[in-house]
Amino acid sequence: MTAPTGSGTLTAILAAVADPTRRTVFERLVTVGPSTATALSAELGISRQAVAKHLAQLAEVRLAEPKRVGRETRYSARPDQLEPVTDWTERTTTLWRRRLNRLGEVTSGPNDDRRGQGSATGGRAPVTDPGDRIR
Amino acid sequence: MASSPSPAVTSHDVDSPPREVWRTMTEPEPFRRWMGPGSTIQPVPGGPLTVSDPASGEPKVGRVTEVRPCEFMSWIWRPLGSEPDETTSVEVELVPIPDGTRITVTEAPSPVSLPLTPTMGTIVDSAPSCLGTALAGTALAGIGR
Repeated sequence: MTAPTGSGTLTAILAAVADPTRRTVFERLVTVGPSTATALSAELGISRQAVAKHLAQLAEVRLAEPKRVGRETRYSARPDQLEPVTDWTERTTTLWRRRLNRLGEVTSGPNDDRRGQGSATGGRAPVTDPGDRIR
Repeated sequence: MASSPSPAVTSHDVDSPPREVWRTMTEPEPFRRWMGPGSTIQPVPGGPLTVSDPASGEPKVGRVTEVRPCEFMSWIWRPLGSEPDETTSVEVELVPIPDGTRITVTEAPSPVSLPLTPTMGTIVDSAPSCLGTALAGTALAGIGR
């Protein structure tokens, strides 16, 4: 019915990639493959500590998957985890397209003499409303 | 597919000036025709919002968060009976263009949740009009979880 994932999750995922640095870290993992905080720190010119924090936050919403290798943790990207967000965005955009079409129709519609209290014509049947139904 | 997610943004041009679009968004009768039978909005910061929303077939309740007559209105809402963490925020921006209005809507999951039992909307007679209204403002206070 609603989004496949609770909007709480969507919020968390969106928040996770809203930060430009974190997004860079994520996209780096997507393009170059699994990596460690140390390696990413050198490649991106950000402190290791900062990278580790971003990786932890990405892991929290499962956009990155940690795996212990020796005494380092390697992270791989999970771009598939973005799917609920992409689905939600597409569905929401489709709904707004319908609502905005309707907004345009109502605004420029024929029985449009609405000054304050609506069309004081008594009858409320949408007889002349051309595109009244929205599926 | 490494593209990052973003809020849902939708733009639509209509051939009516912003003040006409604003009326549809804020006056009881046109608002009902837009958002479905029984829909109500109190277009002031903190004002309640209820829509039957035929576009989705999913009635929603919400609260207006910011109003700048003829330019901008935002609210938070969620499907009736859903959990507060399904709250999303909606921003509607009206920009005049030569032949009418460009309407841009941005919807995103909201960091602020609507409480479990939001008050139902009431019809107000005095919607803020475009002319000389000083009702603009922000009111997120009191909406926190």
